[in-house]
Amino acid sequence: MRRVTFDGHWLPYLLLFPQLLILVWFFFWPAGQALYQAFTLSSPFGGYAEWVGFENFVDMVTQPEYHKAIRVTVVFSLATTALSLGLGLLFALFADRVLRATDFYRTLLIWPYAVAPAIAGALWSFTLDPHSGVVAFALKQLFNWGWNPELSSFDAMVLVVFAAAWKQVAYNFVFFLAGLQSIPRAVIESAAMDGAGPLRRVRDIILPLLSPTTFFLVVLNIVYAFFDTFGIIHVTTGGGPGDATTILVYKVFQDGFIGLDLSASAAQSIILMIVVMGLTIFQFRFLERRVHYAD
Amino acid sequence: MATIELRQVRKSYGETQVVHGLDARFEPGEFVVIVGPSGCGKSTLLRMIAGLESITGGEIDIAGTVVNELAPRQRDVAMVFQNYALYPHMTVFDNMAYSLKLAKLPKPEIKERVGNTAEILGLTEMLTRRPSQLSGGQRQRVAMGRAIVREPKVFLFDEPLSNLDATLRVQMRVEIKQLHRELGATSVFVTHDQVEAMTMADRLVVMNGGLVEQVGRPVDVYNRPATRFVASFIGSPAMNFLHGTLSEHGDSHAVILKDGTVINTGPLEGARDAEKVTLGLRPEHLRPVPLTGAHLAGSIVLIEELGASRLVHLDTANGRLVSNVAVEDAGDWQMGDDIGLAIAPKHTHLFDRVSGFRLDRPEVQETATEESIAAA
Ligand SMILES: Nc1ncnc2c1ncn2[C@@H]1O[C@H](COP(=O)(O)OP(=O)(O)O)[C@@H](O)[C@H]1O
Ligand SMILES: [Mg+2]
Repeated sequence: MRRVTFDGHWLPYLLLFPQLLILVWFFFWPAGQALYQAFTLSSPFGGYAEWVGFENFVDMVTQPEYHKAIRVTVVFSLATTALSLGLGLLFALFADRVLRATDFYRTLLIWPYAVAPAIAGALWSFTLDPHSGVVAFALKQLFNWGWNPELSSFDAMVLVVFAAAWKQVAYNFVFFLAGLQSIPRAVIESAAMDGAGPLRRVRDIILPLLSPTTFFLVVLNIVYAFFDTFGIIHVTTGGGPGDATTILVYKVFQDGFIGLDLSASAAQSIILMIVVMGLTIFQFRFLERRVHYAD
Repeated sequence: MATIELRQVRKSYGETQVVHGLDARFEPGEFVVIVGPSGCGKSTLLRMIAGLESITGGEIDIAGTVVNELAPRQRDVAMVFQNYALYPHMTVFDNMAYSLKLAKLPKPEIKERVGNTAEILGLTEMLTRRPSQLSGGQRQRVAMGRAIVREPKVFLFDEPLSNLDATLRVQMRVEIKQLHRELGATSVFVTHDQVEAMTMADRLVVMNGGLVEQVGRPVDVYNRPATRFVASFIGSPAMNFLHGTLSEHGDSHAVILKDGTVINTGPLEGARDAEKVTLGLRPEHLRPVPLTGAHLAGSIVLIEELGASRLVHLDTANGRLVSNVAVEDAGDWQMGDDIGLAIAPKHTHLFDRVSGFRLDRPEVQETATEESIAAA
């Protein structure tokens, strides 16, 4: 191929400039600020800052509230990932089986992904509202379950998990469907001839062959549950009742912008940055090394 | 060992019917080959027998049971697919053992049966490998092994050799036939390759456009093709066809070609005088003869060398003809040379030009009678 060369050096930089500006302005500068604040103690009103070394981190990891937030985050992200992957796979199996993925069905299922997190949160807040929501009414009528996410920690967790998972189902569905359609039909038919019923075929053939897709989606969904669900939690439960749904990201916001403890908040965001970097590296490393079953 | 009976089997996809009321009966232990051009409904028919495709109309009966509503696993039928369709995430052993595991056979028995099957197919060294670590021919064997290990009532093959290179294909052809002789299960083999069909079949089913054109032993189908389509499809190189008009000469018949040439055909049954017919002549039955006394003559436009014989293409007054000439009969011909060809009456094939059906000679009947007299 012919190499494209530029006369002089200014054009590549000019073309890169807007992107670099955005990166520096919205990412590197705030990240630097967070790093600075994580190692200092500053007044909420500005003015002075005192270098304290790792003290902020020590305070953080010894706080029981922080341990609670970790537990909440683990429960929340595992439940959200499991639910959104499970439903995405189920819908994809149905679509693959019956419809061979008509565009209509696919379009319909991808819609929720285009909804902003806060809107998704509002939607589920209304639906699951303890006083006026249809679900609360139905649960009360059918199971005499006094559904109330404003009071019950469990109900609140269910609410945020559903709202967060719902948005992600569409995304997972599309990937699973693509994965399913890349499995040769004859392989599944072979299993049918060998005596496997539909469930056995899913377990023995389809799931193993989908595992590269599943792995990719698990990492993606965990990252989503960790970092992209702030809006949902903010709109639905506000981290409550108490701190029952305060995940790590939400605690960063609470400590920093409500509690005005910028140093503690910054220390937490540094930890989260490390986590997201770790997950990303993990994903790249393993995704590229995954077994790809050639036919 | 099982009989397979198809009774008025039909298949439609929406409005389009692709199999139109098929009737056939495959005897226990028979090796049946279904042959026909691409898209004629062979795979569809096979998949209906397998249970992978629903049956729109009619009945399929395996070993005395109507299987229309049975799932594949309830039919005791094994199938070998064109692209092998091995489980890519399982070893060769697991590929072959899968059906036995599902049947809940005890572990030692599974091991023994897979071991024996692998031995028969020369796969013993490969048992721990994945399909991706095998060559095309080895994958093909594993696919066969997966079918054999189950000891099913019926084997179905959907063009299993078409992805192999020519040498391997011939070798596998022989192996499959040998395996069939040893195992003796009723087998239905689908192919679009007429050489494969001729060489492998105990009985041939020639299909075209969702219909059966002819059922019979390969040699009978070759000698007495029931329709013009069968005549054109079976035999290689393909049969020559010339238009003509039938004429009666006492109790015998002849064809008058476009330019007035008369070709003697011997007596025909149910032939009408002046009927418009197509005359079929196999290249291997057209012998080169001196121009005087030749039935047909033309100038050479192309010679294809096959080693043992040559395909000579001629332009004649009645159209293009191909003759398959043994090397020792071939002259020192050049392009443009005029040569003559002769054909024996018993080697002429006549088809009604409208219906395409064969106008048959009574001779086969007579030979049979003579033989039975001789035997008596
Ligand atoms: N799932 C399907 N939907 C619609 N038409 C189909 C389907 N499968 C096969 N056909 C049509 O049925 C006809 C027979 O196909 P097939 O049995 O695969 O032919 P063959 O195996 O003889 O090449 C073809 O015209 C094909 O286009
Ligand atoms: Mg086919």
